[in-house]
Amino acid sequence: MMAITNINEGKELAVAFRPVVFVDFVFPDGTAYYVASIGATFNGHLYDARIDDQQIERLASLSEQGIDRVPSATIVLADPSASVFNSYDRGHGFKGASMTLRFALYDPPSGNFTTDNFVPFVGTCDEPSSDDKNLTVPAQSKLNLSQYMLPQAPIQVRCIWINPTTTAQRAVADSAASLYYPCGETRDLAAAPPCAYTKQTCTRPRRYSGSTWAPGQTDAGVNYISGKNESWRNADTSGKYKEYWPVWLGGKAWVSVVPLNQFGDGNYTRGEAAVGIGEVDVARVIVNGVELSQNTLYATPGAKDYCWSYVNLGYRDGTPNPDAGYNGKGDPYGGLTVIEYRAPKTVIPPETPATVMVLGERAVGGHLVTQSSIAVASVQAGISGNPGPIIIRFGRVLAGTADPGDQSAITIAGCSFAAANGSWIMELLELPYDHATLRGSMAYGSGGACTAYFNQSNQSGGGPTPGLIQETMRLCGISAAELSAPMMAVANAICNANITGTDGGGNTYTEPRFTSAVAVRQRRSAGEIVRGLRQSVGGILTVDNAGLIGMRIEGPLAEQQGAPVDGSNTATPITSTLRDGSTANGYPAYRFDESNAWGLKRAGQPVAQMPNRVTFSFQDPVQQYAISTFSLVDSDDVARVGREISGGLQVNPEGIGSYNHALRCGRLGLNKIHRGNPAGDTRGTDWWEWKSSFRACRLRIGDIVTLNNTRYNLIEQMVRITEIKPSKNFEIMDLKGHHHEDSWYLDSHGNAADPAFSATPHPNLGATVPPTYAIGVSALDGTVAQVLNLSFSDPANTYSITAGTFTFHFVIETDIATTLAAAITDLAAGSITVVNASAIHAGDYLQIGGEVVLCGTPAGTVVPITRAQLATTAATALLGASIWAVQQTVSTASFPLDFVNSAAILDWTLSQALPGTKLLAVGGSVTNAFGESQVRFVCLTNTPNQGLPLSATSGVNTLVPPANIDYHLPNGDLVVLVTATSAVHGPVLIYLPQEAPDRSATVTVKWLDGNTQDVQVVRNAIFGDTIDGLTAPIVLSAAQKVWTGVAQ
Amino acid sequence: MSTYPTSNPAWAVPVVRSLKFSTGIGQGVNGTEQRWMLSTGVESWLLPYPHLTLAQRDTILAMFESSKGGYDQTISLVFLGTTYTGIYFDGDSLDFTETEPNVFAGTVKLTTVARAADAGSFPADFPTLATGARTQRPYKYSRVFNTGAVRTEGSRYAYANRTASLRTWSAGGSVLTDADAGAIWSMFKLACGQWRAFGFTDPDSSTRYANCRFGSDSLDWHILGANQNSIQPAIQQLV
Repeated sequence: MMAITNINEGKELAVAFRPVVFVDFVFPDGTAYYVASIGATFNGHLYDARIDDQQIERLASLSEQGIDRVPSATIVLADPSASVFNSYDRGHGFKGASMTLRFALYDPPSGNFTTDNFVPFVGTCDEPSSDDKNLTVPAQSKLNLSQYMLPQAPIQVRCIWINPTTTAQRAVADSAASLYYPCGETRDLAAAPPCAYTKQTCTRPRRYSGSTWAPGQTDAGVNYISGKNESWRNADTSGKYKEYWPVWLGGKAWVSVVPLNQFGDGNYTRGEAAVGIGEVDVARVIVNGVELSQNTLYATPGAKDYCWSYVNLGYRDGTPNPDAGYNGKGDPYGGLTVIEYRAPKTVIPPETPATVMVLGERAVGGHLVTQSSIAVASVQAGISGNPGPIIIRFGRVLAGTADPGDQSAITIAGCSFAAANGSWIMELLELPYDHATLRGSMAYGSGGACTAYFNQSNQSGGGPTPGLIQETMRLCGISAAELSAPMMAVANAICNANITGTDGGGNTYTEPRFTSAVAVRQRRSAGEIVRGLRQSVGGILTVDNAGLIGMRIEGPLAEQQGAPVDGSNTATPITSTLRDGSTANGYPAYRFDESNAWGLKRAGQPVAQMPNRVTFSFQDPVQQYAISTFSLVDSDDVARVGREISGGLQVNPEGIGSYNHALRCGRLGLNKIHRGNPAGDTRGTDWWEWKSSFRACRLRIGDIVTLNNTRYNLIEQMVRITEIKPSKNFEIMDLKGHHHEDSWYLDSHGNAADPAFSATPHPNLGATVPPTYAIGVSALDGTVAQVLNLSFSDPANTYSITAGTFTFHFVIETDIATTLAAAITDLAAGSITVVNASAIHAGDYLQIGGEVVLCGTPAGTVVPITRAQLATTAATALLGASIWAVQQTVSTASFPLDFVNSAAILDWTLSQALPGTKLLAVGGSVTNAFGESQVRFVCLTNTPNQGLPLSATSGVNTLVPPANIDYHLPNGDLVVLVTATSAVHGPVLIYLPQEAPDRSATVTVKWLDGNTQDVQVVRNAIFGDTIDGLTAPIVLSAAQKVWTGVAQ
Repeated sequence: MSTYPTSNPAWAVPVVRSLKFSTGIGQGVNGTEQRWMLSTGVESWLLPYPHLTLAQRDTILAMFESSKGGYDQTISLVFLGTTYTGIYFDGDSLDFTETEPNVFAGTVKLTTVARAADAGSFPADFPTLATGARTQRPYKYSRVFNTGAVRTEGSRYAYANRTASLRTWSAGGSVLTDADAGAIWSMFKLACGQWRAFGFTDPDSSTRYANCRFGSDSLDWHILGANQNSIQPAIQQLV
């Protein structure tokens, strides 16, 4: 036995090392306790052999926790004496302890472990339970997003930001990644004592985020139009205190926002509305159904009617609204985006809280940023000899998110005050927003006009979906350090790639492949949001080997697994298709076959749970981001099950950024429900369940593996893993997955019309390729010819094939029509001379030797001919050669819908009795809903008898495959006559049937005279058969024309 | 730690010495196996006492009492010259029957908590008996298929999961010398039960089948008397 190495090698051994899950408990007081199923020293720790049982919860695709990793685990410890309970639960307390599971392989005889290990689970322990034998400790994943609700911050009087109360906390309060950043109090505790989260005790008053200001309950004034005194009640907006500050995860969307206050004057009503946390770029505002235009950037007294302005752009430091009525006494809304709306009282009655809709936008990670510049009027460092502050004056008011804001990194160049040239952070944009304080140091002095450069986000309506998911996770406390940057980068690249679409008018346009826009006002689980975002792009949130969370985008094999996969047992590529339709290689994450998988079964689903119409909504940029309902039906399935079944996808997709995106998402969803089967029709997607050993321990949700199984006729069938359930110590893995097709992920799906039978014809619908078939003689009656082994080289449009037409061309050998009066010496000769042409008419087919010709109108004994008809080959002929008039009979067959893709086609034959004749050729075509296919001929004249004699005595199972086509033989005694004359095709391969069911059958394969290419008799490699113990094909040629073998 | 008495009373024969491993087996549809060793095994002894005096019986019962039944797992046992430690009474009850006046009969089972993995070179083939025979009669030879079948009220449908049978043999015998029994016992220990594979030569055809394993993780060695032993492991052919 080999020495233990790493997991990938060790897990593949037949006599394998022992899989072990080591469990580390770290209690809240820092005490650690190490247990496993075996006693061992591992990773420098002594593990107690205490584990009696483990229950590791299944991993499932799109699980409710949002991230596809083990959601929970329960460890059962042997504790009949309650010593563990007394020592550790009484001593330290399991509740809140961290539980880390670590997988490795162990060699008991040597006591060695694999050189690597991985962490499948990190969780937080619940309270344990104890009985007379065991102590049971359950733990939940630390990364369960369903535990988090968004939005998190309520609209309240108290400040929502966390005040740093220790020196250590204040030391990091200016770091953007810090929890304390929005408050950002960095001064020492004596100068700025901890606040009570009230406006009165706030030491950073411009960052105060509570909503405290309220207008008077009643007001009175002069109506400017009527000139009369009026009084009115101002709206009670206290309902805001049961609402939350909207969270904008990214992208552009409409949100109904909450009025924070509202009051009237003589002619107008003003109010402030809570747009969201952080910076939100407001594009449009509709109040009570009336769209307002933007006034000045920031709220100011005066100006126009029907307008809105920012109170704060979401900057860390806000400023109380200076507009009339507020007069600078309102709230600063630090770190929040708040707008003021103003319209005549006829539009916004002051008594009733207005309905405010905001179309806003927030950039997300992964957006392109472009460098922009802005003119600087002057720069000054220090005042009156003091070193600070550093003031930059722009010479104009900065206008929104297109300009640099607080914390923007800026670079100044061209300043005559040399010390000002350099890079700084813009600390605080000051009223009237035409100058700002810079952070950093600069020599005392001042300079004049120069240029400042800064990075500007390019916001384009939607955000790349991985960025939105990352932002959601950030809000749930998952830091960037816990993410796999390479995986996120790949996901971003896939989503950001521009694809070309076609609109309803036939115009082409480009857009990023997947964008999303989500703003959340109603409180929801973060897990639900993330699942919805993932559903919209086929996203998989999983972990890498280091336990870092990363996003993968479901796609074709070549995109998703374009290189050999870590932990796979195969590095053999599979030809795959990229999203643009080009061909590339992909690699399975594992290859399962009958040697390493067992318990394979197909899981069924009730039709009622398989919607053939999926409906969801999204905000359509083309329709001004109006909420649009999207619905897609698979009419094939409606026809199949006889009714429409409405429903949704597994999870309601969230934040879809365009119609094209919606179409691709809906199409992928319907395909996954109905068309994941070898026929590709709507008989339902194959969901496979099977078991394997810890060989599968490296598999992750979303991986594409291949399945091979004789019973189900699965040959390298690609399956996407959707569930993984490990047993104790990962010894046995229960796996589940569905049929995968690369074609489901084509970008072009967003351009296609609805599935087949929609009002718009499918571009690919039409006639099929002509059928491929063989001609044989009935084993029971030698006078009956049979068409058998019907197949199609391309399955496109075969669903609606309902009929086949087969024309049998034959002669009666005793009825010679005439003979040649002159030899045919030229293969291109356009006429023949016969002894008697009286029985020959234009349009007749004649057989001369192995050739069939088509006649024109005879002129005396000269007959014009078209050569090489019915797939025969032009040939010379001797003077006096016999000529037969070719007769024909037509036989038709009818097929049920989708017959071609059913198992019944394997047994199908069409019989035609032609006693006493010699069959020369059969021409076959099929009819589908869109017309006739071309005719394919099977020629029989290149056989020793220049045709297939059909007599009661022939009785031989003779099979004539189509010329120059590789062919799989059926079972039974057969004589196979093979034509191989195409240099383009090369050798013709004749595949033998599987030996086991064909046992004792005799197969004779003949290489026919006139062949120019070899014929190779090939074993059935799929079932491991051999030809007399050999695996190499038997090669037939002029040197060896016949091979005969008996199936063993 | 107490030592189990080996004299006054001494146990009689037949002693059954048992070894039990635990092997994880994943078996593919076609019978291909992957095996992993879950434990290095436990060993136990079934010691018969057919003719004890009352005093001798009470000596054992006193030991049982001081061990609190199956609680004390620090007993040591000297068996065939080897000292085994970490042993416990395998059960919380111990019975003796008075078969004649002042003659008591009973059986004691002792088991190890754990045992160390065996060191040594694992032989490529199952041992041949000193006589040259490969097994003793009664000898059982089987062939096994794996058919999935469903019988309906009107018919039966079947599928051959394996198209070729796998063989099993009964090896060893009931009249073995100490050397022959020791060789088989050693083979079983080094194979760790079903874990490791080895070659086995078919007693009928003398065909060597290279990929075989023990058919069970448990093996009993019946020590019947001086140089008289019985060990009858099953050998399983693998795919």
